Amino acid sequence: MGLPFKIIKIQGRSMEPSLKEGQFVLIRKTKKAKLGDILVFRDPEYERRILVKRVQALSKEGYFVVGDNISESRDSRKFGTVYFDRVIGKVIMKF
Amino acid sequence: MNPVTKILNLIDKFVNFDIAEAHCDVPCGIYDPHQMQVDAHTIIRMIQLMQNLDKENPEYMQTYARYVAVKEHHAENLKREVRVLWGDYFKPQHQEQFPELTELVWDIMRTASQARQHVDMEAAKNLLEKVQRLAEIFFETKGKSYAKLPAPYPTGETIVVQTN
Repeated sequence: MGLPFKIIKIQGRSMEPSLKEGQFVLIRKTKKAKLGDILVFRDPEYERRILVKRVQALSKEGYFVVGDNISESRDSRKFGTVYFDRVIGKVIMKF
Repeated sequence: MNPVTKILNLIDKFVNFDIAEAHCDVPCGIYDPHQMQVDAHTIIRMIQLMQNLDKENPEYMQTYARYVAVKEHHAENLKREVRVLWGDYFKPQHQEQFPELTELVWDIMRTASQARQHVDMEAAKNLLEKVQRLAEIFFETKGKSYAKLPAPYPTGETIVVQTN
């Protein structure tokens, strides 16, 4: 709905140790993120899946994102830039 | 678990918060409990071959050493297979459904080390029995039926396979 915030549950381990499996986070809905922000976005390869990764580089078109647990992450190294229209928001609080 | 997470978990049961996936490498969803059973069978078979090896055979040392190397390789491989199932496939809800799961995995790891370090048929058979239990749990969580059948290997042991 129109709320600018959203609670999301984390599944998987590619963002460990920052985010753990089963953890909840509060995200702010926005397309703007800085380097180092944790971004929540639609999987560029599968519309219905939501992913969470960290912004490693910015470009005019979008973000290059990488998982913190770098050896166990499927991220921009595989699917390339996450375009702005795919971005849902960024993590502003972890519970 | 902190109190906020507990409350959010409770709310989650009613409202189902969206899930953001932080999955590892390619989330292919392909897991199988077959290979760890093959590894356990190989360990048993290597011990059988060691026990039956003729000490007068001029190649005794080389052959025995090769059996040891193969046995240890498969014990390590088994541990790897179990680690992947445990870390990537099994989830907290499976643990709730099968409270023995954690203890079973630890047990397998310890028994696999024992089977690797020693020429111990009891440990090897024990290991096969435990990985078969893990295979049964795997098929249960998948909602698949399974059976323990005589394996098509010279070990004379069984194997747990999917039947539907």
